[in-house]
Amino acid sequence: MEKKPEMKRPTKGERLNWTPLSKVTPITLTPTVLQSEKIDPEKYKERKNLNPLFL
Amino acid sequence: LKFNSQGYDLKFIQKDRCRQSDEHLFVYIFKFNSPVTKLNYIVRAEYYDEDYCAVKFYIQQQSKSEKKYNILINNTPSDIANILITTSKCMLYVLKLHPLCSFGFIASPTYEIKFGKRVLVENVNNNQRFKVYKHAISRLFDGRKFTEYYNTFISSILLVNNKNEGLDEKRRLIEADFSRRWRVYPLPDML
Repeated sequence: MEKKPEMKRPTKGERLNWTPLSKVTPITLTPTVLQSEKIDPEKYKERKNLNPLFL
Repeated sequence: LKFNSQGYDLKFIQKDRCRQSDEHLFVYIFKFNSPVTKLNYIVRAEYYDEDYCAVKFYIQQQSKSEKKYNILINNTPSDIANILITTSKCMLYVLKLHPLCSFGFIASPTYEIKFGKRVLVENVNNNQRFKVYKHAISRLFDGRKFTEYYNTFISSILLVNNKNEGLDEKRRLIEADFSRRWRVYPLPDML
């Protein structure tokens, strides 16, 4: 019986298509890049069973 | 993930001066132990002159590593909820001393370590830590103390203290301060 060739499971990084360290290009942090979006106030109302420690 | 527990005791270690190039004014350092992962964690709340704190945490045994914020320890069972709750307790400590303080977090991209060499890096935008932190914040805060701002592109979270007047202006000032200090991301020592 022919033996199946052993398949090596790709690493998590390979599966998720992460970038090799050598190819990482730093992002220039301009005010536009840094601008964060405010959360929709309606989202707060949907939150339930919050931890009382922080309320 | 459930975030209803009390977390662990967060022990205040010291208020330290700035020893790095990013010139925060000072840093509050805390420590806690997770009996589940059996690891000690260091929490840093770095205070900046725009009255905001950058909250960071890492495993104590990785203290000397430049990639301490990027390394992922795959402990089984995971204790991430208790770890994030305990880390967030440092905010309560800081708020007692600086009632108007806002808080910022950057979710570091994970480095995949292969054969002892770091070869693959997770994308900066919308990374896995960002998704977990975002979920945690939605289980801890209800919008009364802080207004939440999210930046998916660089995986950052900003909690602007509602006691400030002009929340959007405060957000803008913090971001401007941030871009003056760190012109690029990831920082050179992360590469």
